[in-house]
Amino acid sequence: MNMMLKLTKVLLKTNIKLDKKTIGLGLIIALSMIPLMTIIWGIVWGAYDAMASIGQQGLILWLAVSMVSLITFIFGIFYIMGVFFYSNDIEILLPLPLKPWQILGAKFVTVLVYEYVTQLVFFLPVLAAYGIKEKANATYIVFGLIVYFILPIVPLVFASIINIFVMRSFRFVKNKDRMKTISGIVALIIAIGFNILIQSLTQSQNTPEDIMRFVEQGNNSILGKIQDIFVVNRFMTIALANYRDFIYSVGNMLLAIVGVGLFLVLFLYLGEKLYLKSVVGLTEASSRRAKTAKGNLYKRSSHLFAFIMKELKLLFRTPVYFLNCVLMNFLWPIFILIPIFTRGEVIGELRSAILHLNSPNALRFAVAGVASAAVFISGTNMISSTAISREGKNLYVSKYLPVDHKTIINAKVISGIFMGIVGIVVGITVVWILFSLPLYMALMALLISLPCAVFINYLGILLDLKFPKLNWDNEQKAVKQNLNGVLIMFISMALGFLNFLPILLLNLSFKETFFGLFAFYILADILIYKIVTHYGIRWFQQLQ
Amino acid sequence: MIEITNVSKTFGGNKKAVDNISLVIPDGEIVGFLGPNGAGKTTTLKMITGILECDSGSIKINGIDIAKEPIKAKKQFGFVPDNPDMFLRLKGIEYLNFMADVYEVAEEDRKPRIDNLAKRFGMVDALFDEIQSYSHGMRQKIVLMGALIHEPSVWILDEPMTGLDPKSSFILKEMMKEHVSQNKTLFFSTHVLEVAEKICSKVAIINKGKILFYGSIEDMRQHFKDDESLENMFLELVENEYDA
Repeated sequence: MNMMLKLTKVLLKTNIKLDKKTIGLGLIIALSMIPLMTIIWGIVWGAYDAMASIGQQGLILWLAVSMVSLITFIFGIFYIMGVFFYSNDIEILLPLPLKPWQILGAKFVTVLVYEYVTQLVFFLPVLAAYGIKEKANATYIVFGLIVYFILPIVPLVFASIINIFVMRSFRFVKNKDRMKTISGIVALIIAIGFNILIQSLTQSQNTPEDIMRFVEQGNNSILGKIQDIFVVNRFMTIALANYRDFIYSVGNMLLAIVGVGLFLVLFLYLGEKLYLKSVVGLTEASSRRAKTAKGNLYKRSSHLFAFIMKELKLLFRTPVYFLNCVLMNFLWPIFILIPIFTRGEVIGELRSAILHLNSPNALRFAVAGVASAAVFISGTNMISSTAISREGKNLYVSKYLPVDHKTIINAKVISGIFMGIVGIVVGITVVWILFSLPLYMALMALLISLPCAVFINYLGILLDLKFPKLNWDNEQKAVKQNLNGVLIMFISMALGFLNFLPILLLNLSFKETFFGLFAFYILADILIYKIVTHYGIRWFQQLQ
Repeated sequence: MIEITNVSKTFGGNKKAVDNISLVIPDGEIVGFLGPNGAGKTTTLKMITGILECDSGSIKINGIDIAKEPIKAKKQFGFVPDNPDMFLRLKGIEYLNFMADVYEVAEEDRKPRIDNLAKRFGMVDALFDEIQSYSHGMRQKIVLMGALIHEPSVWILDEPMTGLDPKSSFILKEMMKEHVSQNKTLFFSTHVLEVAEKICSKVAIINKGKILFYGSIEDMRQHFKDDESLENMFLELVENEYDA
């Protein structure tokens, strides 16, 4: 046990660095979570009154405990995959004279700490709002704290055991890249699903009937099952809801604690037996030793095409790049569509709005809107604005190859423009099909999008040529911690706003708006291309 | 042929990484480039290959100035850098084909060349895997294959033996000998003095950015007037320099 605690301390220290940068980033994330916390608070606040009127306010706690268990379980699956199996420290820990359960126990605690932080967003507002409404006493606060700390343990034990069995059973999962990509996509789907759930919750009226209906549905669905699976949740909820009945409450709390303890012992026991076999042999990529591949392998291509293909292959095959640069192109339409699908009537409204687009007044705003969307999609995929940074320490390779630097830079930008345009085409197609957009409008939208995408991509690479982030040890830092990407995102938002300005200031007609914006971006494209091929290439040559 | 004339390079401050060096690497000879860590070997190789610009002086490869006609000059050589961790998410075959595109190798020449190199280095079974699944030695081999795919007349190799298994190391040495026997150029850096002693007809020893010695190992022995091993001579040269 002593060894496990020592290891836990080391793991926590190496994983959680409390320097200025981390704290700053943490504050930004915390601030961005406030809206969500407010929504959760608001739901509990509203529901409490409704439920208290029929004496069923305890149901809120039941619901919250179940939901938090579910969230912990889902996040836990990914946390645990990363910490137990794909973390870089495994190769260092395995040769040490430690027992598997000690390594597992220490790693489990680090994941638990992450979960406590996650619960600040999802669970703390519930406990606080409920407590204030109840005018609760000290017992509630103490029990609330205990529940806060023991609640995530059982779902995490489940997530761990599932992971260990999966890792033991499926060899293909051991391909780190493939697993990272799959888990990233699954996490995104869950995030989107959760978003839909929250949206539909906020739209209900918070009447007792609504909530009862939700609970009844819940009884037959996932939430009900959760209560069955995470059995100890029942004791926790009873203890917390009946805190005024001290003896009854303490009894249930003791049962909960003992139950959680038993799960922990079971987990460590299974871990001792199974962990080593599931973790040994994990590699970056499994080799197939295949001897054939499709297509003409030896086809000759131009320098430009060869570099574009290289860029695209790396973008698609590197999980971090795929999730942040490629997938992003297709997410915006989805995020825009969520409110539409959660409220069915919106489709009809939008359809009739689009029919009215024939009025010149609406059309000119639509043109500016499309231009802004094109700029935004191309700006947020960060492909060009991190293109030089992504080379990292291998930048020197481009320098000894007999290829014009202009070709190399153009290939990077073209792959960015290509992905941006694919995203735009998908977006336009969705709108075209869903809202019966006239074909000529779809084509016009595409036409205005092209020069916008070109401009923002060249602007992105210009930034990255001047301030590349080349010194990184994992790909995440090249993209996610790259200020150029953030900067270009803000610039694209500002441009999106500026697109509307001439209409408002000069009261332009539809035709004037369309051709004005088109001409403006074409001119801007020529100018930025000149700057990139003149100064940008000089900067590239100076990079070392 | 590689001609290095009065080349200097300073990083920041005043300390010269390479201090006014001149070397001519002739055709038909294997020339080894030796020196302790941080002596200026890699900086020199980076200037020859166009990764770094020199502050002064000139470098010509087969008579073509790397600063004035970079692309034409770069087509003359194949370069193997000291770290083979590049393009890790491309498959071996994709990397080789990419390099063939870069060096404009004709389509009909590609397959025979790739087959031949893969056979010699025992890489036939690994070509269709991503490079990141390779061991260090296999990565070294694929980078070597990529550098040789256009059959360059000048080979520039930075620590090419690192990580190679004995058989591959032997094959590479054989290939190096074959290459110069066709009156072509070969310049390579190494830490392994036995290798230098066995296969180099000439060695250049650099320390603190200056060439301390350039000539055949025989010349060096005469210089030391002794039948010493290269290792002893090297240590003596470099240590005198350290003391100075």
